[in-house]
Amino acid sequence: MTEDDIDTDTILRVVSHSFSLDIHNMHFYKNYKITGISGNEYNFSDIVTYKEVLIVIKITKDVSSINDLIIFNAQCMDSRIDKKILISNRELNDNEVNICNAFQIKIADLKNYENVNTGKGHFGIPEIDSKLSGGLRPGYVYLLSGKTGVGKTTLSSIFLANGAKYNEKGMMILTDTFPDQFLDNIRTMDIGFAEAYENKMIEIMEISDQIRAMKADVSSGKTDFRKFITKVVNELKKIIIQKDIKRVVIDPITLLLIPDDDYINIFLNSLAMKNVITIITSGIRSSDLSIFGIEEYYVTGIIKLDYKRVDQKQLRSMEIVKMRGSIFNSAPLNFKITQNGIIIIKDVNNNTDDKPSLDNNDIFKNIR
Amino acid sequence: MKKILRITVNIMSILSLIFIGIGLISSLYSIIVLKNGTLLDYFFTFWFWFATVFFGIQSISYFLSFRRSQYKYKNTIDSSYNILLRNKVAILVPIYNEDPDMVKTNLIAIHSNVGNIAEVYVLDDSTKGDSSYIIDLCNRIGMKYIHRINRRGYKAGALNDILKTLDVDFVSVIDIDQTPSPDFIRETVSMLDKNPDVGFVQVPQIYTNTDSNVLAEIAQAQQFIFYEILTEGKSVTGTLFSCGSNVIYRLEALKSVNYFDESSLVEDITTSVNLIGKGWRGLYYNKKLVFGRAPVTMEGYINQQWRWMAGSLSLMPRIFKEIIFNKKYTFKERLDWFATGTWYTFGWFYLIFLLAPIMDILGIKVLTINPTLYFFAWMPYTILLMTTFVLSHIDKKAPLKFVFYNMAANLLIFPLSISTTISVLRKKTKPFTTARTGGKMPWHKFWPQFLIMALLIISSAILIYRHSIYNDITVFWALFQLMLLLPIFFLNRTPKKSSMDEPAFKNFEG
Repeated sequence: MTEDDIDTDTILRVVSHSFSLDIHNMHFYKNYKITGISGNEYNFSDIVTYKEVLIVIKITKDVSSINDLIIFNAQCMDSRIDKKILISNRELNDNEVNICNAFQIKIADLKNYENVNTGKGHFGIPEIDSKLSGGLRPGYVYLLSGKTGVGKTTLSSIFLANGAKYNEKGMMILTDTFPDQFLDNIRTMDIGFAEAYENKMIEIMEISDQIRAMKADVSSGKTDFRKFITKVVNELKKIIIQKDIKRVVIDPITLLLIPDDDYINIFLNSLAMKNVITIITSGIRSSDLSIFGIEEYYVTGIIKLDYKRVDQKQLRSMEIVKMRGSIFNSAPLNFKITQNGIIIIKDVNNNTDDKPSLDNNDIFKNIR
Repeated sequence: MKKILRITVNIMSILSLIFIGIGLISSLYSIIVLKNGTLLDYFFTFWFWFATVFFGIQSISYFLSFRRSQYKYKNTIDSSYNILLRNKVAILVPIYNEDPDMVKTNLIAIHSNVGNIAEVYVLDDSTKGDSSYIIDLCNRIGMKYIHRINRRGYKAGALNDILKTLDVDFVSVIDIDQTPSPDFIRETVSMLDKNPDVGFVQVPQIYTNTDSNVLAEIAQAQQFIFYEILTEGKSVTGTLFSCGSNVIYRLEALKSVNYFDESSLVEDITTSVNLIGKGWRGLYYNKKLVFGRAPVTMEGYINQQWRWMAGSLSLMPRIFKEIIFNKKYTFKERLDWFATGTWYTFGWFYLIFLLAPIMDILGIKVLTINPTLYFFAWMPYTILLMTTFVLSHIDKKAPLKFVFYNMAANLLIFPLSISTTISVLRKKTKPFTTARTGGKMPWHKFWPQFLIMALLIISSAILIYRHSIYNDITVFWALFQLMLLLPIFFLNRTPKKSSMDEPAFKNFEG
């Protein structure tokens, strides 16, 4: 187990609970350097600060040698840190427990914390969830942006399919794709979407002709935009409430928007709904995050997908650009799209996975 | 264009005054000095001139409102968002024997658009049907459901019962057929925050189902005049009254008048009069922030109009006593309230205009004044009045058909105004009904309109036969009025489904 496997939120909850500290005043740092009394410099991989207090965290997966724990304790003492905690996802042996007790190192079993429902919506891809400190918080609207064919529809479909695994009903609203073609394409991937759809855990919706006509009237100024927003949002929320939907994807949002600050502000703000995670997807035109260059300002979080050519291969990447109210890791992740969905590539130079990549095929684009 | 309109409106206001004066003086002169007519002539002449004075005053009030709306209203509005709203606002949604589908849809809409910043209270006074579906929905989405065992005070009573228990700064009332937009509360609370002397903020009522039928369009046209011109003017003068829905009140203001007035059919206007009496004023915020539904059946429309008429007419004595005869109010305030308070008696005054051609045939002259005055005062004045009315519509970007609808609407329901006046005088009332109820009405109920149309046709035919310039002009007006009455045949029809009722999303069943 590495620190990457545990999200920051979980670490903070463990520390908060173990030392009875207010989680809101805590800050998490990685690779925190401290010079000890002896003059030696120590690099603590995980540390949490609470006001002036430092809490050092040791995360252990394999059985720690007594020596390891003695060194860890010595480094803490030399650094004048008396709050120490060992986080583990297994039962510690007697030796480990005794040493920890002797050195006053607190022990926390991760299982006790992982089962606590944080309420966050996971993608089911550990690397992504970890970067998001566990997932997306319900009640907010998130933007998934990127060029055409970069994997927005795939990632959002995975998000819905993963929700279905946890009994969270999802809804995919397609604004520019024929639903039957979308379904045909998504069936080529083994991500559980089609099964969830057949089990009625995911609804697929498309926007009606009436909405298209009304949107045209809004764009030309014939219809007041609030009337349109009120109509669209109300109907959407009616479906969400009646069908008890917890995850919503609007793919892409562009067809429901007009390039007006007020409009986009009101529209995106009113999409937010208690206990529901809403993902909107957007291509890129006016800014490097959205079509109109406005959308990004009125969402809670942004995940940007991108691709580039490296050695004749297309390399996709993903980064969290913004995530209000959550601690997140903004370092980009590389990934590829295969028949098993999104696969994170840890070593770009050694990407020898022989599963065929679905790169270069914008499988969801059947623009009307 | 704006400048021309401004000058025209100013001229028309002055002309109206002059005209009223000339009319009164010349009538008295013809009756008292010239004595050239029978008692019947005098009676109908008085009635006719009284009607002209009535519409003259209404026109002055209209033009003044238009002027204020054009040149002063915008300075009174400073819109902005208020983001610190939690625990400050309560939304009250009164319900009474409504269509379950509409209740479900609109409660979700109200909840989704304002429920995240304000507590929503569903005040269900229904006496029929099963309300368990409302209770279920309220429990699921976290709205408070209140059902009373009695209906004391009707809507006002239901509002008051909950108001007395609330500890919030502002209270908004939203009828169940209205849908607030997501920024309704934020924007209106901001107005109340900035203006501590404002007791309530009213926003316009916008009908979204006007493609259902002509009746819905006519209702929207009437709302257009009211919300685009009159209320803007009233907001400037301080004579604005709240319209019962799409309004947000300062709870402190309501407390100062012992909450909503339960004694009246129109608790909104009555409570506004009480608030004004306590020194509060209303502010009109002309932004499309709430969307509602026009009545689409003739019965629903008549129910709505009847309630407004009966309520306003029964309030007239109080308006006269407490405002018009009260010196603490300015002249313009009193004039405005006079126009508001007396408006719903219009049926009596339309009647004499409608009867004038047939009176002519019967040899009773409703205009005992000489023809010269008629041609040089009455005719040009009337034409100018109508032109200015049209210009004011154009200036406010109303579709031109709204001009016709607005001229027709009141004429079409003149019998209702007459019968309601009589009911109010006899203190007769009927059970509370909403504009959402009812259906097509039996055609015989429109006998007064049909009778008048028949009389207009007959008298026109005879007057054409008796050809003279004076008669031809009378025929012109007779046919003009006939044209305005013709929509009656199109109004009492089954509505078609509005495009707003078409679903926005289609479920894909692959």
